[in-house]
Amino acid sequence: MLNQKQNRVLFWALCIGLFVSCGWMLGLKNGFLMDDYTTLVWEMFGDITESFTLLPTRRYNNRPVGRIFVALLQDLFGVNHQGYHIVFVLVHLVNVYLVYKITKLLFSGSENLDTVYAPWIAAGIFGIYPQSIMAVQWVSAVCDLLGGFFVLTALYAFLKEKEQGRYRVFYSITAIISYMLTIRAKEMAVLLPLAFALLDICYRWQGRQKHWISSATVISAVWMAVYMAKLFSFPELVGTEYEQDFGPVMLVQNLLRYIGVYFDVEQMAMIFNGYNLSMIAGIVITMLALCFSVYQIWKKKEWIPIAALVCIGLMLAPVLTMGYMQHKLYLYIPSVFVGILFAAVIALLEKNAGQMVKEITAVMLILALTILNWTPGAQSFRNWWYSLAEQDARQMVQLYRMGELPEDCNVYVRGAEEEYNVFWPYGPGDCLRFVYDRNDLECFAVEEFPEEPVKPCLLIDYADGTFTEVSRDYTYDVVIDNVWINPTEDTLQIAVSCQRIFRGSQIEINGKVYPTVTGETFISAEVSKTELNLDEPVSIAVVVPEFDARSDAVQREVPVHE
Amino acid sequence: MTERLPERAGSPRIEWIDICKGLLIILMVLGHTGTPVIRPLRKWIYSFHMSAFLFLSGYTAGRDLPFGAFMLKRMKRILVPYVVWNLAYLALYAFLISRDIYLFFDAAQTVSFADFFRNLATTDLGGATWFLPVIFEISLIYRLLQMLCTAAKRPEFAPYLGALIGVGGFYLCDGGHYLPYMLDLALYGLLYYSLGSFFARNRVLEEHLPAREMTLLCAGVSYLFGMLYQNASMQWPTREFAGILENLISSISGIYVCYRVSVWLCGANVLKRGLSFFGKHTLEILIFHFAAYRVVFCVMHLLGWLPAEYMRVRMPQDALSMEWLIVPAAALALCAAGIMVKERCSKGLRKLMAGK
Repeated sequence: MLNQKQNRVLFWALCIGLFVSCGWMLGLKNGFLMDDYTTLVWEMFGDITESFTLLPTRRYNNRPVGRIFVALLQDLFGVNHQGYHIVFVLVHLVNVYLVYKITKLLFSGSENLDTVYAPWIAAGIFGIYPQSIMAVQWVSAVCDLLGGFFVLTALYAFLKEKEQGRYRVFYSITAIISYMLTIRAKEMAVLLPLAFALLDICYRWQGRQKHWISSATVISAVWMAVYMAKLFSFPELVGTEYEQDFGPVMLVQNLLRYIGVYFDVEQMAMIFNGYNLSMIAGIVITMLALCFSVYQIWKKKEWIPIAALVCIGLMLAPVLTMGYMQHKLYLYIPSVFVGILFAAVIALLEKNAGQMVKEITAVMLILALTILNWTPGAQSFRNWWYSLAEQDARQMVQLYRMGELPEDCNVYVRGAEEEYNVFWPYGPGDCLRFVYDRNDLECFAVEEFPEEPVKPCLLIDYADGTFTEVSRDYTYDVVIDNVWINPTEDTLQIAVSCQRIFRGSQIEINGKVYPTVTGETFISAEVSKTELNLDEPVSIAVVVPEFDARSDAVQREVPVHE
Repeated sequence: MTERLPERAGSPRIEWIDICKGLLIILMVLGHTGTPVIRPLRKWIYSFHMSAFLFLSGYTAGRDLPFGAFMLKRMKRILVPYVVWNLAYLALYAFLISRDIYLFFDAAQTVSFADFFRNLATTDLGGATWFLPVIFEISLIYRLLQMLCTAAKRPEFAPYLGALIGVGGFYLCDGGHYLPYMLDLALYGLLYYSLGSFFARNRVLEEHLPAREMTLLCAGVSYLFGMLYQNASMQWPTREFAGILENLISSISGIYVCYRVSVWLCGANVLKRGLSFFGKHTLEILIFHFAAYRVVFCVMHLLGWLPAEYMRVRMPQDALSMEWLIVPAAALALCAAGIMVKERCSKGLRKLMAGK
């Protein structure tokens, strides 16, 4: 890779670009924010080895690969956000390297495309362009980052298999397994086998392989069908921002919006907010690239640009169906092919140019991409990101300073739903569960405090970005909601539901505590009829010995056994 | 336990296999410590080390001997030492019990000779020898499969059949359907044995896996399964396994990492000699390392470093600093010394002690 002088120049240009675009992500100011706490508590309290399934278990957001990865990072770094971001940037660097290698492999069979400079351009566009690397800076975007990684390993292995070397079987298997893992990281890449099939056909057409479809493509396609059948067997998400609309008008509209978001160098906003000049210029550039690609395949038999365009569409297709959400996060995976597309276009345009021209173009392009990270839009976005992270950190300190919380504590926060804050809407209260490393805390965002909050409880006010304690009561309120008595021939089965079922709750019958079984919504015990006077009402209470708490006793008549 | 290559005239031992076995047996001895320091490493060791031994056994399994000669050889090599030494341990325990000496074992745990022959129950000194009847059964079943496939003019099908049976064996173990004489474990172990045979026949390790990519991949997967996945470790004697996919993945990853390390160590003269030595004598270490632990505990007690109760303990329990290293190292040194003594004994006694 670094043997030739021009490669070394380009390598250092790329390094500088990556440093500028990603270096800030490693700083102290890039902390946890938004749904990071929800992401972090995903697997904190469960057995992650139970999480992984090859097929989905629900319609949306069933991504065990990301969860397991986060659990691993938690094991390593705990609450140190810098550790997470270091790993994310490292994964991104690996992805950039893979884009370089994939471009080299793809272009190696074409007489028209150079394999010295173009791969650096592809790597630079993917790795440095600020509108497509949001997945690197944000812990909650772990699924996009890992989805991109596995897409790239699948693609790399798929192309290596075509080299007909002695490791063909290994690369075939790697491509298939990587595909299976990528859709368990992010469903967005589900159509990757179609990209494989397209590449197979193009390779065959070009005479680079003997068969039309490779075994890796067939197996991946079969798996894709099985996966999608399973996915669509679950009910649709209705009434949420992830609701899907398959209408063609919506798809085209969203495609234009995504192109707009990608080329939005003015605002560099996170989501689509409306068209501006740079977006329109971007759409024009895309149309020109499309026309150029069609011309290349029609007149010059050069298929790579059009194939890259199709692959962008395939990777974007699953998110085009989301009518209410066009997020720049979703550009990470398609930007792999954006890089390849523009590298191919530039290489074709410079086909007859000298080496000096090609080298200067590549270096200038990488530097231009680097400079884009310092535009007012990019800086504004970064400053907004920092301010949000700083706000979350400050609010976390306020919450943490409220002191140790008792077991099964209920936390009520008034006014939290008025604006985004660390407590709401993520959870609510996932931030508390994360920082205290406890899953027993029940958190409620309320407009007004309940007249009788369930104790133990902590009441907090949220106003002007600040959390303030109102009151706390750490006594344990055991309140019986309902009692059921089911007589059998010899025993009475007694079930009790409470406002809150505390750990270790036991049923007391006529003053005596009985072995109690705890269910999800009620507790139950069984008593022999010989121990009771069935002509008199039974006195039932719930005790929680660990917290020295006891409910008021309720009296119930014993029903007759039929 | 030390497998020889197919009986072809002049066929040499494969260097990396001896080194690999040496590495694995050392990892096994380390893994048999209960200390907190070793615990993270132990998870990783237990995720692949027994399946690695089975894999290497399959890798080096011979095909050229007639069935009768093959059976005799396996019995002499595996069953004879297994029976002889476990009977010796049982006799020792019987003697100690008759003298009311319970210092070296838990009085509540007694194993009779009948238990040994009925259920292959062993004393804790012979606790690791469960592997010997299992590998004997595996090699027997696989040899039969090879003969069957050769008769059907499809000798290449043997590993596939073996793997299929192995998967069935997993579900027997996982479902609690235990067979007599650990046959269920043998059936599951056949999966890894067949894998080894397949890899040897097709030279997969040497020719079909790109070294750099595979090493990176396997190291990463090994780390993931060893450090994070609590359940990936395989407890063979108690049949505690994770899912078959997790077991296979962690086994293959661990095996490949050990393979690459072994190949690399082929160039390191000093380490190579030591590891090869242990690799050629895995049977002796398997049989004697728990006994060696007891001797080491005894010595440490006599030196005043450990209480008397420690001599009842089967494995190091972190009573001393660096115990996780000192005790296994001393036990291995003792085993090595015993092996060297054995080398100098008469041929007949050698056969009795180690089947060769």
